[in-house]
Amino acid sequence: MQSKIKQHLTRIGYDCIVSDIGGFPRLVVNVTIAESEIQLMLAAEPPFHSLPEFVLIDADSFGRLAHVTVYQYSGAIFGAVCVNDPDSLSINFEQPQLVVEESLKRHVALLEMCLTNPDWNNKELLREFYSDWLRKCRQDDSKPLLANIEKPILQRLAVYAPLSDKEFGIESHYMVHPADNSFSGISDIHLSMVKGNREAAGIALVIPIHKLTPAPSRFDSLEQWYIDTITALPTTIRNELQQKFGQWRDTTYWIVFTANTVNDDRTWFALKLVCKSKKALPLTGEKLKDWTLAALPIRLFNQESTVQRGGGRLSLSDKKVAVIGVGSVGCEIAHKLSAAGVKSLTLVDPDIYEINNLYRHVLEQGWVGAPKSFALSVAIQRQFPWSNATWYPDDLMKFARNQNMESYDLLVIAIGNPTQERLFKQYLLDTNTDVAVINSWLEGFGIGGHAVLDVSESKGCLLCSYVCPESGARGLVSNMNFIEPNQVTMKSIAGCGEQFISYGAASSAQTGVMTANLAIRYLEGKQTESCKTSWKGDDDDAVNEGIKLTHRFYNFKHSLEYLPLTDEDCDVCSQ
Amino acid sequence: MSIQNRFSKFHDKIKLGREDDAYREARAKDNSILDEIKAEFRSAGYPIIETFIQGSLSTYTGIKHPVDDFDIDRAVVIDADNAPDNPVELKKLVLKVLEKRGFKNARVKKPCVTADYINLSLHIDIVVYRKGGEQYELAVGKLNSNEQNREWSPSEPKKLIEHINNSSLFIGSADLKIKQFKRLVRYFKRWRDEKFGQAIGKKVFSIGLTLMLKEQFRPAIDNNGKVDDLQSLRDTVGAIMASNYFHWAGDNKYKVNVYLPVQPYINVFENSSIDTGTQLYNKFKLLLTKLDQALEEDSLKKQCEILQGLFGNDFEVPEKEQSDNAGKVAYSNAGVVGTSQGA
Repeated sequence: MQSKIKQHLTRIGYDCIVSDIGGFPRLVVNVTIAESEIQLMLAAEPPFHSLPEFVLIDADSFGRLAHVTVYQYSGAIFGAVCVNDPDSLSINFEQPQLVVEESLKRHVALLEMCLTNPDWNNKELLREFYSDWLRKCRQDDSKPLLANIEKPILQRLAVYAPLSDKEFGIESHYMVHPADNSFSGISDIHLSMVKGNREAAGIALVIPIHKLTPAPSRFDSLEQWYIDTITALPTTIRNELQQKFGQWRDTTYWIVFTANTVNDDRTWFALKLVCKSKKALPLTGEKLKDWTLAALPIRLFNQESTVQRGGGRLSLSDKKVAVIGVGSVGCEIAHKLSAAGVKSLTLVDPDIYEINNLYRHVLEQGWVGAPKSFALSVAIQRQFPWSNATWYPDDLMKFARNQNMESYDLLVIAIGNPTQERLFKQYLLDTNTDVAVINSWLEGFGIGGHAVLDVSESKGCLLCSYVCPESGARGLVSNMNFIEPNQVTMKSIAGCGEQFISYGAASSAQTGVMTANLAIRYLEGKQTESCKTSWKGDDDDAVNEGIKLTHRFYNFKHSLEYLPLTDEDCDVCSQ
Repeated sequence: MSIQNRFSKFHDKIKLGREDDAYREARAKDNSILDEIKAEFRSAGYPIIETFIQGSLSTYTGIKHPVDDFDIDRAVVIDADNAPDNPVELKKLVLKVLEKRGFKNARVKKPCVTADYINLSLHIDIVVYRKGGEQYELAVGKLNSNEQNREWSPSEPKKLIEHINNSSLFIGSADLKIKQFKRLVRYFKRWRDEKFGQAIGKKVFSIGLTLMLKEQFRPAIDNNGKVDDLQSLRDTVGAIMASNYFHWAGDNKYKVNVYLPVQPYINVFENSSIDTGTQLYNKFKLLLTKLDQALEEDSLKKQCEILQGLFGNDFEVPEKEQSDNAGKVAYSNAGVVGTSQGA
């Protein structure tokens, strides 16, 4: 196969040879880039299930190159070139010569950029600083140092040791003292501090770097990089370090560096300095001799980075949202809104969590017997450290009468009770209350789910979705439904009070996610008009049960689209 | 407010069902007359084995007539093995009961016995069948008909009712479509009552209109299930005009033919005059034009004015362009509706 590949590359104009390297015959391609003679060795053998890597021979002779990791092998210096995330490519493993050709093109193109455009090369080196840094970390320090640091300024913070009996979770990590007091009072990160069961492991210094240089390569020792970096600090910083933070003596220091890389992106990385005897923080090469340095992986644990890295939006953090009804649909909505960054979430439900709820709700077994709203508020605060979810064991109308609805940016109602929902809408009309409301519900048998956004002062309201399609009068069931009204959709296996609608957790989750997306769009200002949206499932189960479906079901082709809500026969909207 | 909402209100005004309050007295009379007929037949040796409602009340297409009486279309059935050869004998028994009950104008017509109740707006038609196996035969003949003009005529009254009520041929959303079809029948009947003089109007038989509509019905329902009776009416009238019901009879005159889809498969308008056919043709043509005008009209008020011109004052015209119900809550007529909604 190697000769077939060589033959192919030669035929299309590459200069290829097969060399014995490290005791194996290797395919080497000679290319000229920016007047430099470069040798690229094919590092992998067919079959190829990912893009085969070429390594740069004598990599140290070209200076620091972005996306090239230098290493020693069999007495020679090689550079592993990263041209792509392997998972982002689909490989034609049946035509290995074409795969090699494409890989070679990408390698040559990348090296050409590095060698001919020093600015670009330097920016890329800075951009990948953290990746480079991680490669300097010892494998046995796989758990990152958790650092809750609000501002990238020179500061001293405490470091806490992990608990020896904890294998997982926040308490199994070294942690820099949280400077953030906005944590949920029951989040692990808060509790791990206030419980007082973690020992102080030492002191962390946060040092901002004004001019970042690329991470140390294999040949630049960590020690030299440290001294160069300290020396290059502005005089004021160095003086402050010396006078304010360099006076105490210790055996261990955690240095947390931070700097801008490119395009205002900020990176954080850490060094651990250990000495056998207590000494002052070493700031010169001479004093560093007694110390051992180790690069540390670090995970910044502040709201800005954690929420955004998780796909949330900081812009939602000040929004105030109430989710009324935290059954299987409401709990998904509440969870996804919290995950999106909504801190101020009010959860409202009068029900108790029961055994029957386990298979379609996200709450754990331990909550059986607890109020659903309380249990969910705890679960959400435990998962999302900056959530301050609160709860009320009220039904919709009680909540409406006891609270100021206009203090909320959005109300999301997921109670699955059309009578209560219309009653609440009438209450808002009667009291002239101006608040945006989303009503969300699903229907049995996996047939689908719906959500209606009712924004005051825009066209369309909840009652538009209740106009009877035949008479044009107000109806009692939604005109969005996929199941014809007046059918037996409740299942009864234990008699009165034990009836239930048959739908699974997947249907709940789908409806919840759809609704949460609509809510987020509204809160972000992307959806300003009232609208309706539905997802449509299969009709297999409904048909098996002899359930009749609506005309809308059979003609619906707009799953998850935001459709106009207004109905010209709505008596509220026509006023 | 939509034009469909206006149609819906119009329909609510004109529709008549056997259970409606407006029909309560007629229903009570029907029941008591039926009891007497049963007794009369029993004592004459012809026990009634079955009885059923025929006509618009059996097909849920009844309407309140703006002027005329309520109709009762009642069928009584005796066993064929027990039936007299002369069907008129049985019709005489019915006539006897009706006369005894003080009906005016009680008379035996060829297919039925008919009478008007003196003190009520009530018109009654009673037909007699004999039944052998699954076959019904209608008692045909007048009081003085000779043997050639009286007979037991094969008939399929229940199949006709089934044909009109049957929605199985509709592809998808059959319930919505059959309900729209029934509403259209009622609109057609009211249009007939409004637009034809009484003499001709009585000859534009409801069954003839209903069968044309059933055969040519064009539903109009959007993807959300919102129905559009105006569009459906227009398309259905267009289809009727484009089909083969009207035959040129020269000099701009037409004969109308609509055949029963069941035994005895006769032309419903067999004995109707050319004048009836011509008037029906011309008025259908005008109806189509007016429906097209209504569809093209943007103004709800003007649409309603056109439709009021077709269907009479029960089709209301709003005072203003906007809904005259603004500010009022248009609640559903239903007290409770089963729902599939959950969370």
